[in-house]
Amino acid sequence: MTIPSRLSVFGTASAAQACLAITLLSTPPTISPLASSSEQQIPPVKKTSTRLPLIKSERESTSSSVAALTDWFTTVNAVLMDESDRPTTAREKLIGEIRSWALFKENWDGEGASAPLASSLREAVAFAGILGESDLLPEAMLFAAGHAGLFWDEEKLYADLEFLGDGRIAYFIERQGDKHKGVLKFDSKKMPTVFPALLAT
Amino acid sequence: MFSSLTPRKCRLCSRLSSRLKQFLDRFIRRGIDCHGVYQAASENSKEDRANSISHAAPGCYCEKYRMSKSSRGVVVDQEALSRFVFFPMHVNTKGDKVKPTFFDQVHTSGCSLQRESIAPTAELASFVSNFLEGSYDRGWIGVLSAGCKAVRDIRIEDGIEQALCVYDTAEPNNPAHAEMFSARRTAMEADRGELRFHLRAAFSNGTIVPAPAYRDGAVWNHLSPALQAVSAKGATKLGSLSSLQLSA
Repeated sequence: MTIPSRLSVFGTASAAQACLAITLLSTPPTISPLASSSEQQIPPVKKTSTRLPLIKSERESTSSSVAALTDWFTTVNAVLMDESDRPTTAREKLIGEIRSWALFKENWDGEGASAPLASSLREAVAFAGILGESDLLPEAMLFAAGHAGLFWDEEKLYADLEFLGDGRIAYFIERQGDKHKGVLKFDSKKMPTVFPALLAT
Repeated sequence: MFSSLTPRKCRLCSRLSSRLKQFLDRFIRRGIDCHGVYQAASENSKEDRANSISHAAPGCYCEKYRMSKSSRGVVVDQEALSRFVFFPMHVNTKGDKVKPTFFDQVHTSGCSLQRESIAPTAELASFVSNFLEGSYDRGWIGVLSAGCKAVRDIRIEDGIEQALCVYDTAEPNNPAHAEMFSARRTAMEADRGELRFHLRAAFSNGTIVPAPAYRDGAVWNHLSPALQAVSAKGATKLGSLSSLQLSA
């Protein structure tokens, strides 16, 4: 989103440089000969589709330069490298753990537990996804009834959330002797108003 | 055709007989047949055992009576009770405490317990061995203990009604076996979290005594080297049951 504005701040360039850039970028990349006929070919349009809007705007601007585009590619590459090389966050691990339970079958605990409820797992994942950056991350748990849950066990906070799989959360929270419990609706998009205050550490 | 119906018919007869006996006990002897209650609950689906017992014997009535023929006597308040931890899924990431889900079965099939005062080491070792036999997704991780009175004293919202019942449910090969169940029939969803919280607090705040340290290693030393290896493996893979499950 910030790329076009960034490009526009670069100084003028020669017409030859601009033409070269446009020619280079508007030409769909060619795919090298396929190893075998059965191998699926990647349609060229897919490779260029993300670039075209930028190039279109670029054509309208005579102030673009090869240097600017090179800079843009460098930036994008740097971002992509960061994305692929960065370590998995604790939140992603939590979400991954909950999602992995979808593979469990009935009697996963050897004591007659129900199979994990897909809707409950989704709710727990959604809740973990909208927790504030500064919030302490909970641990995930799976109930014998197949419901996913989250819990906090800290010095000043104990919280037990059970995702019932029908858009409701049953919760019990204890903070320094004060107890709060109930069942409330959860639309998987917005944090229920009662939690930010109760779960703050 | 009839041979295929016979077992079902007998099971039905058994249930009817059990119910009739309970009915007569209630109105003629002014009591409840706790053997019958336990038997009927065992015939029901695992998920419905807690409800079945709390319906047939409300108010933890059968705590005062033996529920099993193998019983060595009712569970008294002064006894210490232990619950064995077998599943990494029930243990927190640090590996030192159980998650609240460890006690969730009080609402369904019941939570198994061992009566410390009457359980010889050999019996507990046999219980662990039988539980682990032929399974690859579990290991003996450790034990949690609580006083029976602390469990029976648990109340929801500081009410007067006992929230959990502890019954003597001895088994032929494990006479020290007991179980705890939710006392309320179909406990409210919001109450379940509170009950788990109180239970965890009663059981040494959820802190696990590692299997090799329980009873100074006496039970651990009774286990075969193979079971010790399986248990050690389970303990080191805490929180990653998925890998164990998938490899099983």
